[in-house]
Amino acid sequence: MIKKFYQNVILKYSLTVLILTILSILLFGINVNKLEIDASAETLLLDGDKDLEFLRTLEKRFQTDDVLIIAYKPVTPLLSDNSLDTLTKLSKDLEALPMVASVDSILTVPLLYSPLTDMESLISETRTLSTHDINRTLAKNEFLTSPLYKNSLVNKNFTISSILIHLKKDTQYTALLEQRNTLREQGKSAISVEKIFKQHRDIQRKKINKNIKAIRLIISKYQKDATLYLGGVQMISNDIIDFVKSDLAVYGTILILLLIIVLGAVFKKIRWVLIPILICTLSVIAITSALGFWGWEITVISSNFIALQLIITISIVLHLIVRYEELHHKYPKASLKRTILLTMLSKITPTFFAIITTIAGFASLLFSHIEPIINLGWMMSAGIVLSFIISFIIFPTVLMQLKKIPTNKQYQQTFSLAKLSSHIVLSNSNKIFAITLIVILFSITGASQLIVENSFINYFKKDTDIYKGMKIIDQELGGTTPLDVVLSFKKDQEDKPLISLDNEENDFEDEFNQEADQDQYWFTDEKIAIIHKLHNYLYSLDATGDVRSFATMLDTGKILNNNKPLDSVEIALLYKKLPQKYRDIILAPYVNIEHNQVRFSTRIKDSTPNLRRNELLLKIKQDLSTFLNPKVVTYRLSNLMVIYNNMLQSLFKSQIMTLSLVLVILFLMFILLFRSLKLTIIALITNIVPIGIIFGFMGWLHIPLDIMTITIAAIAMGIGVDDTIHYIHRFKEEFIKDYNYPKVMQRTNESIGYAMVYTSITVIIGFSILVLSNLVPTIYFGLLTMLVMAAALISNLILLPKLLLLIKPLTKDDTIKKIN
Amino acid sequence: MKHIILMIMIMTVASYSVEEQNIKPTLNNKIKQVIQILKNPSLTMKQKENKSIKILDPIFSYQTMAKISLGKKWKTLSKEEKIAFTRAFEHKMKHSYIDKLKLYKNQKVITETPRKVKQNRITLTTKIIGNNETYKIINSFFKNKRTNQWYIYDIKLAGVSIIQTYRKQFAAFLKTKSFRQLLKSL
Repeated sequence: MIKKFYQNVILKYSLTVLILTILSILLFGINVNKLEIDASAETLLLDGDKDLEFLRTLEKRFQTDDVLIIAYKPVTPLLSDNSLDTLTKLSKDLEALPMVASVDSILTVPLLYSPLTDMESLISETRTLSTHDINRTLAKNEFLTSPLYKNSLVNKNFTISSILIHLKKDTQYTALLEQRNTLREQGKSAISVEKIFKQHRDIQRKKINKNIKAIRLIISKYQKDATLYLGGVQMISNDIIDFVKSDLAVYGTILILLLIIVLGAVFKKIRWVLIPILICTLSVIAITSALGFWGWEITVISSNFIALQLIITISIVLHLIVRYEELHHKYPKASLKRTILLTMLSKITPTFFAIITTIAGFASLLFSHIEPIINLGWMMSAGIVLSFIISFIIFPTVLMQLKKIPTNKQYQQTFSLAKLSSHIVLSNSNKIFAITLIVILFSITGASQLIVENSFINYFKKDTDIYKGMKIIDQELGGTTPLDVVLSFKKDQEDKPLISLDNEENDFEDEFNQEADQDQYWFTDEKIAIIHKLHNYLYSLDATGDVRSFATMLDTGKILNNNKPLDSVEIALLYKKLPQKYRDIILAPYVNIEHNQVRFSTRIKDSTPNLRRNELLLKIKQDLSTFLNPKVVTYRLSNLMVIYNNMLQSLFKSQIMTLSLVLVILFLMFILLFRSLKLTIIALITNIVPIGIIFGFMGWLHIPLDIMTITIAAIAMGIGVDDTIHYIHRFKEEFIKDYNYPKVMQRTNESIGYAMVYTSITVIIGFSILVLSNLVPTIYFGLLTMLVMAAALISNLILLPKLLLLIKPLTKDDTIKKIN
Repeated sequence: MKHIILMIMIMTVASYSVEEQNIKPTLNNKIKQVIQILKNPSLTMKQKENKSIKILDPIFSYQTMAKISLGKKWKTLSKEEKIAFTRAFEHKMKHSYIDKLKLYKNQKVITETPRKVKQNRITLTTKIIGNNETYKIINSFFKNKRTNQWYIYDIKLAGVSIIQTYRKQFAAFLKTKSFRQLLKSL
């Protein structure tokens, strides 16, 4: 049927088919404009993560806002006139930006001990560094010692200060998100809300990007007066998006150019450069248009999908080229049409099975529970199918328009790796198995050291401004990654059983019960003790930097109260009398009486060496379980640290699951394809070894499993399996000729081996440019892909034939039976 | 804050058991006495404290305050426990505010007309005129059925009831600890 289709349609009307195919793709290609990049926090997090929902509730309840931080290190002393003047101008420029609500710095924060005065005076008059008679020596001392400011607003050496840029709340975003999530939970259609949400999100994203660029521009104006670094969660996600976008544009272009150079160097024929490039271009246009048409967005994780698409497409096309040249060389007098037909028919089955197994490899990503990874699975599966169809239409139809030209077998002499591999297989039996054993040991020991750990700071190269800025904020100004602990106190209940009282007693009870729930009476000694205990505990942890809670206010109050702790009555009075401006700073973010909750806001020092996030969170939970009585209060951890850790842990579990699934699927595919258990096992071993090498490598070099590197196993399987299927398919074809294993191996290596070598070399060179990226995960991705290509090549050219020679899964009788 | 805390001391000092019609004039008189004590430079702090306590003691119904602050738990206590708790509570009340005496800085104190809210309840509002603000203190009197005398059972400073604060505190404490431990903590 396929033969008839090629004979009567594709090759008969080759020009028409070619033109129609290209036109269709180009026409559909207008949807490329609709393709978008989404690198918001949500895409990096678990689908339906309850902790994310809890965080959003907290943000509303405790009135927290988005903050960007600038680390300000003036050339003159921090409190000098020059420095304060620079700071004033800088703050003014920042406040003028449309997305900025307010700017806080050492100029604007209230000074409570400079000098120490009574509470009444403090409440009525706010003194700041700008107050005319402020004593700067006292102010400096306050910044260095006050629980409100030390090690967060200023560093311990008093050389660097934080400028806090409070951003305006995007209430519409939250409202739309809630609406969308509610509809989803109710099982109703959320399409229209989703559309409005995406439109709003895209507009906001552009505004945020513009805002950060504007802030950086302002900062650059003052670089001669101070060293300034920008930090903050919004900046991190913005910069990751920018890096991804620029990588896509720059490296996508360079990759194509490199492919052209390598193809030209290998085949030395223009057609074997142009045809692969044409097919790759059309495949990429087709898949990106499809994504744009269906409204699927590229995320940080799936940003490398175009590179992956190119690898697979190049592999398909190179196998076709090598087969065509081989047939052309063998049957020089055969007509062009016949040669092409034979090429396509001989490659369609192994290619089909190769892509099916590759799809199986990527389909395993669908079970990861992480939306962007699931999307990558779908994207790659769709992309591979498109590449297959386009290759098997464009390759023959283009060739039909060209004249036959003599083959150039020189490339076989130039790239004699294939020949070398057959020599190695035949002459180094023990060494091959010994090396394989060492590799397996290396893999197991390395894989056991795999870490599921990463920090935002490690996403950027150490010589970038972003890294330097984040490091300063992390180590000198209280940490970077936010972690919240929320305590929920149990509601006070009436004593049971009811006790009978006389009239007077009832009278008193009624009188006091009427006002018992007023807010000012919430602050009991018990609660205060728990708050202090937890605050001190969090502060004692090495990994935590700044810790803020209601205890911060209490400690401040203690200093104002001649170093005597405030008791319940004093706290209740303060609560009643506190002006709104102080309430917003020291109370509202940390106490929510309506819900009986208190919040402890900490920042984790991301750059702490050997920080193990999951272990830290587990330790905190365990310690809290020990000293908190669940009858009185329950706790919950929240914010970016928790959510990011959830994602990393889920990655780890899903990696194990996807790998297991891939192996099962591959086992079934191989059984179906080869109909031989021995061949199946040989094929599996051949593919497991390169993956083992990758994990071993990652483990020994402490490259963490992360959002980027998670996909590497599926990629390794997907690409490695192609070569295995092509090789075994060709091996079986050659076996029929003389049933002589060594000769069969040699012929197979020196035919199909070339396609495998060229594909690998092309991809390795192409991917080498990724190591120039500014985003560290992308560098790892490039390096690991290069490694997996090399490992898969060696495994398929040496280990696979060696195992075939050793186990001899094919027999003459079986083969004859199958032919008969 | 200093003014706020001072309020407590002045009002406790100024309170005393009294007939209904004499509440206001007697109160004003007692305030004057305490202010004189506080202004007297020849007295040590300790002497000022002792003299003020002597004026303080008679009208305060510590037992009623202790009873209200414990709520229904009071009824479950034995006689000895009630005595011990009242003593401890009284000690805590005095101890908490005795050192606030030194905060007095010649502020003016004005007493308003008593208001009868119920047959056996009277409130008396006193104002302390501070530099920037005027602080309101509401003294709550109840009539003891046996003696027909009026006693203070609660003081509300700027909207915060002292006894209510203790009620909440003791209730929270007794959720997870015993009465003995509460007694010890006082």
